[in-house]
Amino acid sequence: MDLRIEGLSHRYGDTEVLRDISLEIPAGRIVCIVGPSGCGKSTLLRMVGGLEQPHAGQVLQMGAPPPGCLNPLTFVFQDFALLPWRSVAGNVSLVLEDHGLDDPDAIIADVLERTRLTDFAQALPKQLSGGMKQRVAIARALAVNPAVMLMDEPLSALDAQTRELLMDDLIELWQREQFTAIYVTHNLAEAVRLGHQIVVLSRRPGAVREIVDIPDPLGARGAMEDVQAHLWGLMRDEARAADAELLDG
Amino acid sequence: MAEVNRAEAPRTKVTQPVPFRGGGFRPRGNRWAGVLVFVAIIAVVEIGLRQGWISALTLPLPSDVLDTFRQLYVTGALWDHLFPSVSRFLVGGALGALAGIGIGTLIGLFGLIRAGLVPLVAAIFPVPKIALLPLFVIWFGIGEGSKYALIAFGTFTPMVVATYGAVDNVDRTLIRMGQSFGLRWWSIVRKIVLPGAMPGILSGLRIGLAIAIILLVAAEMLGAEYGIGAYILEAGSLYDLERLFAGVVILSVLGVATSSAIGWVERRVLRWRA
Ligand SMILES: Nc1ncnc2c1ncn2[C@@H]1O[C@H](COP(=O)(O)OP(=O)(O)OP(=O)(O)O)[C@@H](O)[C@H]1O
Ligand SMILES: [Mg+2]
Repeated sequence: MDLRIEGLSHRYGDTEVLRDISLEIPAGRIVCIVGPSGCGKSTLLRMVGGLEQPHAGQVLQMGAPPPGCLNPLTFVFQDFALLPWRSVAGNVSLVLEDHGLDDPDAIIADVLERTRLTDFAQALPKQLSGGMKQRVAIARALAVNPAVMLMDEPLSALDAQTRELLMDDLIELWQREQFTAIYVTHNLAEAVRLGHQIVVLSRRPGAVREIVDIPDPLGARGAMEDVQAHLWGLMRDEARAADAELLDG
Repeated sequence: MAEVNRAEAPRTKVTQPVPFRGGGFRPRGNRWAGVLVFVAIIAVVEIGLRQGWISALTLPLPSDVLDTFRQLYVTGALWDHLFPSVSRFLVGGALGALAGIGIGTLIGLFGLIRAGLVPLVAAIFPVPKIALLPLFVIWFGIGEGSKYALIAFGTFTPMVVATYGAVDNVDRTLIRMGQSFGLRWWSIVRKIVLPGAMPGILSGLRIGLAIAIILLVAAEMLGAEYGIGAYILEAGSLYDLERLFAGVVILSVLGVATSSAIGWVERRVLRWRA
């Protein structure tokens, strides 16, 4: 299933947040979105996921979701959003319970195995490290077999080492099964490691500033300093201007 | 040590462990401390009365109260009073708590219901419910009905307020998460909203049930043949301090039992809290 964003614009009261965003998200690709703070990245993602309605424009699903898909557009949140009163397995089970599946336990066991959490199935979130919590959230997302994963800064609550490890995990998961994702991040190193395509948004109101394609296969990339430098060049001016605006306002 | 002067200090190099400054601010005591306080107070009163430095008119002798208690137990009168009281407390408290949790959840979930009912709840919250007993007698009869209604009504208002406050405080990101996975509305309420509100609901229940005990006694004082309230009223009108205190002790025990029952539920249900 591909995704197409057509002329999407949005405003909160008098604040114009997004201006005429058009994007294609082809199946099996990871599209990273970067842009200065407050430019509307999270808002865009909520609209793609159907949690909010844009003032203008639309988000189109093209083609059918894969067979066995329980929730085509599935979020992975920055703050994990795990239910603290449910165990690891219980948190995964939560999103399967409404579907009347024959054998949810098999799915739970499979996704916990893929995220290396099998030994922690009965642990409560308070017993887990941040990296593990995010792996639980990823396992939960995988359990519904999504067509597109919507990831809003999934690693930014984690320390640098954990982030590295989880990036490796994500790449490994993608190599095993080419999932589609929109991945919002502030971190250019993450963007060049994980993105097939990097969309740079301007400061608020967010508009597409540039789209950078990275043909190199995932998992076989270096730091790609030239790409990072190019992206940073695009973002620096926007970020500075955005910062000045906040100070003025 | 105090005389170590600055010039000398670098040479002597006193080695000592870093003093511990943490700890505290996390009350977790010995459960026997509570028992000890009771025992100490009772012992002081007993000794004071026997030795005469507490006037015999002010308080009954604790050992006499104990004896009254024993008689109550032996004659079976204890159960005649305790059983009606406890069943009124349980029936009235349960009705009020369930209704309060239900209405409180609706107020927490629906804007229109909130707009309509919050002012009403605010209006009836400060009314001393005991003042409404005659009304309940007219509505539900002089028997058990009016007592259930009074106790239920008294438990209801604090439960409503505690519940909708707790529902308001449920982490919105968790509800968003539920919606983003396409959970059904009822699943979100049952699996996310209510468990998330549980800490607030249980602390509301503590207050609600304490009020229920107060109203239980009040209702029984105003019209009941049996029950702890009736027993205390009768003892009081005869200035029989031993029996009065025996009744008061039963009420305190009921209060402590309720509170520890809620504590037990909290420990089981809220184990997930960090
Ligand atoms: N529900 C809302 N009501 C009003 N304004 C909002 C709302 N949500 C977001 N905004 C505003 O819209 C703008 C974009 O917010 P958004 O969270 O999408 O930015 P972002 O790019 O994700 O920022 P960050 O990089 O800090 O996560 C911000 O100025 C924010 O204050
Ligand atoms: Mg954001």
